[in-house]
Amino acid sequence: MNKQDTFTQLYRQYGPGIRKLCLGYTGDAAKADDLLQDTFMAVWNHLENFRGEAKWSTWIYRIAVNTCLVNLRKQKMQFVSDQDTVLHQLAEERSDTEQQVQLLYKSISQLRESDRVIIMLVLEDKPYAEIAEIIGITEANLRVKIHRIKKELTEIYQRHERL
Amino acid sequence: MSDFDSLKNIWQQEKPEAKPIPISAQAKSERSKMQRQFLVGSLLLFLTGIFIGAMALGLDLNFQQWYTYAAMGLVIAICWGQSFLIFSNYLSMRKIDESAAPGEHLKQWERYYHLRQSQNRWNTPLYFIMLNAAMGIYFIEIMSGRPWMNVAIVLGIYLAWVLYAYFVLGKKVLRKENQRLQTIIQELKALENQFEKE
Repeated sequence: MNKQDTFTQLYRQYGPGIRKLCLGYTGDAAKADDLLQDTFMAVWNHLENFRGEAKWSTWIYRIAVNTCLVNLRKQKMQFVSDQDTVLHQLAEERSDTEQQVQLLYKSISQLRESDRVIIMLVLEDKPYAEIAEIIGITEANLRVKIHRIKKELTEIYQRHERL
Repeated sequence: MSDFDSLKNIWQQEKPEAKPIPISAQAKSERSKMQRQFLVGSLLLFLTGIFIGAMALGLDLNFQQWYTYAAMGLVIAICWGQSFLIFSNYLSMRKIDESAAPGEHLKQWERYYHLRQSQNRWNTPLYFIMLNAAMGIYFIEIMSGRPWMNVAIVLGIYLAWVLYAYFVLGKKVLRKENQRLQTIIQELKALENQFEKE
């Protein structure tokens, strides 16, 4: 399989999931698309460097996580306030399910950056061993983090739900 | 509702969209923009050197003193040196491994910004001194034999501009750039800590 075919297949397989991760991280569709594009440009540029030591998904998700972390350092505060406005506007127009999804995005946005990334991988049902490899920490450390983040996210969500 | 499993259900209800492959559009990340700026900056300085060299060789300048040509050579060397430095920044940025673990990836960025910070400390004064030394040598022959009033006006304007550019504009830009780099380094450190501590 040549480089173009490999890339196309990787994009088809992982593109949607990565976009969801980016969307969860930014809460903004346009920014998520930019990050998706940057992620896959990095994938294209480094495709020859993939040595098969990790799974394709681990490798690609790592690139996506790094792209999100580095590109959105400065936008986190802005994101929360923008999201607030959008959420209030949409609250009355959307179905219950859509509102819950938006509320979840908002709750995730209030976590620390590293916690956002970890919890989205958990929500995607990625195995803990793979998340640990993506993030580059031990599985034991990851479990401790996940326990704390789950609690924190649930509390934030409940707080918003009550409002 | 809203224990964690309920949140997971909500999350998984949203089906990811399949979008077309982003093959042609330019990357929009800060990294890609900076890389493009480095490449363009490096190329422009390199071409400036070639332009000055072509002038020295191609035009009938008819300078009488060897050191006037040497000054032109020095300006070319400075342009190319600066071009090389900018290109090395481009290469340093390219070396940052996007597939490394996030903690390591953030460290690589931090090291890169420290490098930029240290470059700013020595590069700007050196560039200023070398370029103006070269221009000073160049002016010796250009100005010799001219009415002293004309020389005084030209040199006065030149010196005023150079000193203003270095001590007012340059220092301001440098201070801003250092603040920006320092903020980025602090943010990267904070992010690194998030991955390292629990």
